[in-house]
Amino acid sequence: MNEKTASKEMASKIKVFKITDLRRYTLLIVFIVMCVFFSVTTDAFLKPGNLIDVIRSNSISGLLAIGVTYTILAGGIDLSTEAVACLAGIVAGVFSENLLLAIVGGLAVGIVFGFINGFVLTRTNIQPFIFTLAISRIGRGIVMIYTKGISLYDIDEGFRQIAKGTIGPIPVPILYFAIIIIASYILLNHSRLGRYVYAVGSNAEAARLSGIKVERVRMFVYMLSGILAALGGILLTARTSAAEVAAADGWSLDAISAVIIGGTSMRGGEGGIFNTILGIFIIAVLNNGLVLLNVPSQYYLFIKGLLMVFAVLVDFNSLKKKS
Amino acid sequence: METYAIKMEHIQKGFSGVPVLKEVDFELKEGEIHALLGENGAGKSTLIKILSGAHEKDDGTVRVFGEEVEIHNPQDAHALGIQCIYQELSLIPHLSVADNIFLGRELGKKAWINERDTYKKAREMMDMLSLDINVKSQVQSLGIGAQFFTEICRCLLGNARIVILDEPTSAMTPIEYGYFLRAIKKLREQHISVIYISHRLDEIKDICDRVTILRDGKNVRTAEVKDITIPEIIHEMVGKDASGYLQRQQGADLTKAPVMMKLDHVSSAKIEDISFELKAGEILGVTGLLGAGKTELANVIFGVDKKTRGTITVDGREYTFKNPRQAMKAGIGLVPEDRKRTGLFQEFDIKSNIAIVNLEQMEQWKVLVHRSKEKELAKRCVKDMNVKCRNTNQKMKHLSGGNQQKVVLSKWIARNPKVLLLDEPTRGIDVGSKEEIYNLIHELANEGMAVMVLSSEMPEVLALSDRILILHDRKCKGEIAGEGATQEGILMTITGGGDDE
Ligand SMILES: Nc1ncnc2c1ncn2[C@@H]1O[C@H](COP(=O)(O)OP(=O)(O)OP(=O)(O)O)[C@@H](O)[C@H]1O
Ligand SMILES: [Mg+2]
Repeated sequence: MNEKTASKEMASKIKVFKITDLRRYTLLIVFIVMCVFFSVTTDAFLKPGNLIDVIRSNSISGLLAIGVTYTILAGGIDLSTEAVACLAGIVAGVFSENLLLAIVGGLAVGIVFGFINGFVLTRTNIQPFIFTLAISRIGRGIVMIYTKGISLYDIDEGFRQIAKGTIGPIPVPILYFAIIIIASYILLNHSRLGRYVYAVGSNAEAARLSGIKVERVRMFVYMLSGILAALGGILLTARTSAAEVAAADGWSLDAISAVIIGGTSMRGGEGGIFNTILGIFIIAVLNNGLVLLNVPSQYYLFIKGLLMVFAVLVDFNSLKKKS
Repeated sequence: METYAIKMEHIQKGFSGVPVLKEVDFELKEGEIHALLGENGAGKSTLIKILSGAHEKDDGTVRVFGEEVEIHNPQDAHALGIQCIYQELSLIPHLSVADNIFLGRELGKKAWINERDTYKKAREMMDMLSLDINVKSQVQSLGIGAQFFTEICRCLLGNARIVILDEPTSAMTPIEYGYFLRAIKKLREQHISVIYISHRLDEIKDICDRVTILRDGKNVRTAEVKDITIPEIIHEMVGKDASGYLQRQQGADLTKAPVMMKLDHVSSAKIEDISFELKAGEILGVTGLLGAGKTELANVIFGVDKKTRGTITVDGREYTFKNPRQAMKAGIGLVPEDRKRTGLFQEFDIKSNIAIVNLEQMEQWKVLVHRSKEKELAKRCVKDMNVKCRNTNQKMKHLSGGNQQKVVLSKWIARNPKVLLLDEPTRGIDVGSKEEIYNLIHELANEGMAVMVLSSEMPEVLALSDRILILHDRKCKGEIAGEGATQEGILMTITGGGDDE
């Protein structure tokens, strides 16, 4: 009897309803409410064309958000994604006549930058925020030096096809995006490596003592973030038929905003790919709805800012309850 | 010839030139449970961290099952079948119990994880230890006991041949300790050799076959448990005879002493309807099982948790504290239970940790901190408490567990509060220092401080208190003093009437 109550006592410490769940549902509810609201107040919102458009216009920048999700989950951050995307886009544009070379060259940019981030951040005590910010400047700087500030509009037709076509009614960028989402979901939730990403972000020391090669995991997330950013840049060049020197401007912070709004913790170890997708589409639907409602564009930033404050407040509340 | 699971010879280890282990020899026989004892800072944790790959030795040899090995990292140790449960439990807070058990050796083919098997196997392991812990719940939502058993499962699973336990029981309640004994028995059945570190000497006789005692980074004695007595052990640990702590002078005359703090039907979200009076110079013990509400009671008094009903009076004035700062201003001090999370700034040095709650004492022109006063106070605290450290500039995280606890105690005592709340004050503190701390608490009370000791260690409460308040299930279950104040008395009060559910 006594023993039973004791183990019950221990079990009673287990909370029935997790705060993180609550948080995820709050945001899901916000998202649904938003969708319902815009469907009712505008005619255009629910049209398949509009919905596909909303998804398509986020499926390239979304790759950066997925990449940065990995780094944040592992307890780091990557501010260099937009520069990597831009530089990869330029490289792809320059080599666009040779499809293979364009893609390989673009991805190589991601691999090199990801490696540099990973290499330095696993071997020194430099804060990821500062280092990746500096790398971002360097990446943008290389673009400026190389192009002398002049964008490329002479993109080969064949190369453009990689992001132009549709399969059935679905534009190919959405397809790439979907594949990366599914792959990331499987990787993060069902593979050892994915589990290690969470473990390192949650408690790196404990992960190390569990025999996990913490450095390798960190290296992996930065490399992946670089590669996904480069992929985004390549597709952007193909899609817009231009390799612009200011391409992907502000995308790093947009990506991080989406991750935060989706509820992934900046402290690492908590959140996931679905959170990021939710974050991306909360912002996207809000943008779309505001346009459809003819809200003057000068209000957008303000409203987006409020949304972020709201998302963070949900997190703050849950923190308070925990202690 | 006997086989040794571990044979360490002439082990040396220093940190930035300061030697911590000086020529330590240590042998662990196959299948035995071997206690490793010593004062705070004697080098116990350092020694076992060399085995587990968390530190590298400077010199000496390590043999595992007869073979000489070099252990450079935790992976090397795992490969040799050495598993360690550290003083600071090391689990991943956001992962589930099952995921933590299998972390680093997930079930499933190649790169993938088989979730169903993971949960099932984890469930089976908990059943084997007859524990009712939900293996799907996140580790951060569990108490210390449940976390420890999660670690034990990790060891049982990892084909461990040698398991190292660093102060596993220091935060356990008697009931959890019961489970712990069973877990140990499982280890023994599986013929696993165990190194066991503890400051609770009475446990040694229950659990261990042999003991090795370290003093100042050297091994001073190894013996069969049946051949050595507890006073002898203490003698070896501290290098002198134990004086034995003063039993609290029962019935000390407090009738005329003024009431320092009074709680009248106080409730919060986590405790219900608690009333008592605490006089100047009195030591009130508060005890009860895990989850009884001890820490929660302290939190309400100290303004951490919100009071929902009732009144708190301190030194004749009624207060409703909105935050700890107000409680401190009213003259209350709290030494919290979890030093790592709430008691200390691990990255700060000793003097800043002490200064942080004593800044009023060292103000200069209202805004600046008087550096030399800061240093002076820290030096005094370290000396009074006998903290083992290089100097007061040493970072908190480089102190041994027990010495960290001493610093927490000293910084609050230095404030000289009217009412001092001590939540598990001697967790992880060696017998010798415990004695010193008990005597110190008695002294503080004799000088007129009102002290409240919240502890799940009944002998501690019994030795310290004038009166004992017993909490159970967030309510006050009774109060005992004088004759009735025995372990049986406390347990009777806890269980009395509680059995009918
Ligand atoms: N990383 C480190 N850097 C510098 N000094 C250290 C470090 N780790 C431990 N020490 C010092 O080594 C000595 C031995 O510490 P250790 O943790 O082994 O003691 P212990 O016997 O486990 O004590 P306790 O019973 O308090 O846990 C202490 O004086 C401590 O200050
Ligand atoms: Mg120790």
